[in-house]
Parts: sequence; C-alpha cells; structure tokens
Amino acid sequence: MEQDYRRMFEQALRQVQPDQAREDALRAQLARRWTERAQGEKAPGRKRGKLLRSAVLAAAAAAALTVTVAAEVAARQPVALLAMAEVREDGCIAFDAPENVGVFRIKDRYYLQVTEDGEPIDITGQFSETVPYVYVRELEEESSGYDCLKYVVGGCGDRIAAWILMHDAHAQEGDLEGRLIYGNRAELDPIWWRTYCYENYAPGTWKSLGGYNDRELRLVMEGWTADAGARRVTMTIKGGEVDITQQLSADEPYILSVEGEERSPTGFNRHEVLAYRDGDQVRYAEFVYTPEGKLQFWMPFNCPSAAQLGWLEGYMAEHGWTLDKLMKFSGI
Amino acid sequence: MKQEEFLAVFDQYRSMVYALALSYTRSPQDAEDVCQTAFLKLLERPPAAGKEKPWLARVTVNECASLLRAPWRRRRAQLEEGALENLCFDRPEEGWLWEALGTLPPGQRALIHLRYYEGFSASELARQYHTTPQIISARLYRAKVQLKKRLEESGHGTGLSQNV
Repeated sequence: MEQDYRRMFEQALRQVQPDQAREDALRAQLARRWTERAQGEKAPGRKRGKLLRSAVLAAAAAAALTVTVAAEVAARQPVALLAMAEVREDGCIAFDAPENVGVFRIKDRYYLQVTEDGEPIDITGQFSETVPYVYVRELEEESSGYDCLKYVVGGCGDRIAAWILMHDAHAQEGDLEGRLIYGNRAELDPIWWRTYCYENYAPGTWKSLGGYNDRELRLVMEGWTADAGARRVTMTIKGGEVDITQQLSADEPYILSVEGEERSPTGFNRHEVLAYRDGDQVRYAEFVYTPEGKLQFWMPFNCPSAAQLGWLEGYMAEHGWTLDKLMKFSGI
Repeated sequence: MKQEEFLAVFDQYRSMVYALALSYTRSPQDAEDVCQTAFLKLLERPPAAGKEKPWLARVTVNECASLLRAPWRRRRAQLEEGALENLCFDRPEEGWLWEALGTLPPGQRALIHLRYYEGFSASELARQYHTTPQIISARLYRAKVQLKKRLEESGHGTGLSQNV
C-alpha cells in the first residue's frame, strides 16, 4: 500500500506542483509578513497579538466583569487566543482545540464556541455532574466526511470536561470517534459521560472512546415507566416488567438485587437497582458489584444533577462511600 | 522565532503542507491557499521548536476541513470539478488508485496520506488527532477497506499490492 500510494502521489504531485515563481512569491510574502509583525510588536500601541491576549487575561481577572463584556471579548477573539491565556488561577480555563473551538470560563459563566468565527454560546447552568449539555452541529457529509459534530460538556467545578463526537455516516456501530477538547483526560470517565454514552450509543462505544473500564457496560435495568404523579411505576429488568409502585417510599430507596450476566472466574456480578420516590419524580440508580463485593461501576438515572443524589447517601454510607468519592469513581 | 528560522521551517515543510492539502482538497488552488494560511498561523503562534512538522500537519488538516465547509468553496468546487482528471500515471493501476482515493471522505484521504506518504506512526497521528493509536489504526483500516471496495466496484481490484 505504502509503495503504491507513494509512487502514485509523487506522479500526481509533479503535475500539479506550483511553479517556482509562485513558491518564491509566497516565500517573499511570508518574509514580508514576518517583518511587519516584528515591526508591529516594537511599535508602541500596535502590539496586536499581545494586546488581544492581554484583553482576555484582564477580562478573565476582572472580578466585576459582566456577562455582556465577557461575551463581547470572547466574540472578538479567536478561541485560540483564549486558549493561550494562562489564567487558571483567575478562574479562566481553556485548552487549545484542533478545530478552533473550545470551552472557556469567565468568572462564573461557561461558554462553548463551536466555530472559530461564531458567537460563543452561554452554557452556564445547562450541564451538571450527571447530565451533560449537548450541542449538535450538522455538517455536509460530502465535504467534511462527517454527518455532524456533537459537543458534549458536563461536570462541575474543576472536573468540567468537554468532548467532540464525530458522527461518520460510514462508521460501523461502536466506532464512534471523539476527542476530549477540554478538561483532564485522567478524569474522562465521569458519570455524566458514561451515562450519555450508555443512553445514546451502542455498547462498546464508551470503551472505544478511551473509557478506562474495559468491560462492556451492560446494566440489568433497561428502562422504566412512571405515569403523572408517579402513581404507577414500573421498571424493565432483564426484559421483564416489574411493578414497584407499592415498594416506593420517600424514606428510603427500594433495592432490587439481580444477578448479572457477566461471568468472572469466581461467579456472576451482582446488580443492585435502586428506586426512590422524590415528590412526583422517581430517581433510579444501578450499582454493579463483582462476586467479591467490590463496586465495579454505577449509574444514576433521572437525576439531573448531584443535588438529586442525596437519597443515595444512606446506601452509600453502608458501603463505605461518600457522594463525592462516588462522583470521582471511574470504575474498576 | 527569528525570520531565518521561520523561513527555514517554510523551506523544509512547504512541500509537505502542499501535498497534504492537495490530498485533502484535491484542488491545487485550494492547496496553495491552505499552504499560505498554515504558514501564516505558524507565524502567529509557532509551536515549540522541533514540533513544527506534526503541528503543521494538524493545522493543514484543520484548514482544509474549514475550507471545504465554507459555502463559497462548495460553490466554486462545482465549477472546478475535473481539475485533476487529466493527470497521467505510469501504470493504469496508479490512475485507478488515484480515482478510488477521490471517492473517499477527505478526512480518510488525509489520514492515509499522513500515514503512507509522510510516514507518521499511529502513535504520532493519535497525538495529532487527540485520540488513541487504536482508533487511528481502526480508521486507517476502515479507509483501506473502503478503498479496496471502491477499486473492486470499478473493476480494478487487482494490480496493486495485495495489502491495499
């Protein structure tokens, strides 16, 4: 393949190579731009690059910055400049992204920029530790090779992260491509991400995107139904419907223990499905334990943020966990 | 970066940038535009010394993708169709390969080019694409399978190396 390609491409290149005069012209033009740039940096008041960067730094550091000003600064600057701003201490975090997009924070507000020249989207308050914010950018598949890009942002505090998922019309199931554009790769298995992948993509996708857990995510709870006011609530467990209306309580969660299908040398995993009546809502979670009783992974459902996970505290305490510890848990 | 250093990088990698852009856009004119933009970006925010090659490769791919997404480019592309149809190759098989490559998504063409023409390893490409070597390998594999399929569909499935 390599030799065929190389031989073929070299022949093509020879026929469409720009002539020497055009190459020289480009070289001269770049040399001129270098000189102009160097002169611009020396002249007071013309430090364009540094000035813009300073504006971003100042904007991030200013405690009284308003959203309007922040958005204006962000809209004027390429994200690359924001990404260059090393102002973590001041609360602005940004990473350079290959597509000239990114997430950035100014004071307490978060923005997502999906194109280099587009307006940043204020996504403050639209994502949590359990549920991400998702922006879908449709593409023309013929020109880009992808149907659409999905920007998925989730987490809270210093654990906010963002992914770009690239939907390729020709990709096989489970071959979704994606990359982390913001955040710490060491924490790429947060619960919001795991849940999003589980609910939207085929088993194995999460793993193919670099999830730490090399087991396929297979939960026994396949769904639930709850009518208005949660007067009748059912769960679908391993293909069968279970009516849990009478078991639900606002005092403590109902726990259903089910044997899993993943066999390890010492036996089958154990799944514990929890349901809890929280006013008119029903919260759910599933915990998976190895035959030795070690937590393997967990996932909450219908819990829009960590604030709706308080009902799990008693259960977690019994297993020696805290909510904060659980939110950082990446599976084993 | 001093001017002589900047121009030395240009001299060293201009061909690489142009060739990569040509493989992606399949338009000599677009490839020249991308080449110019990539080096202007290098001027604006140069990478660390010694990292120029992968940096330029990534910037070139991104610029090509942006260019192909631009509405004005799509309109122009319709007028330019066939610009590379009259290329001559020593062997017919090479012409078939060129044509089959043209039917692949541009991103796949770029990946094939970076791997087989520029010699980037899967690990190096993984760093550029912010992903894992396994995903790069899988993408390359898919691209090659598609390429083979296109060659077979056009009745030219043989004549090239067995592992195409």
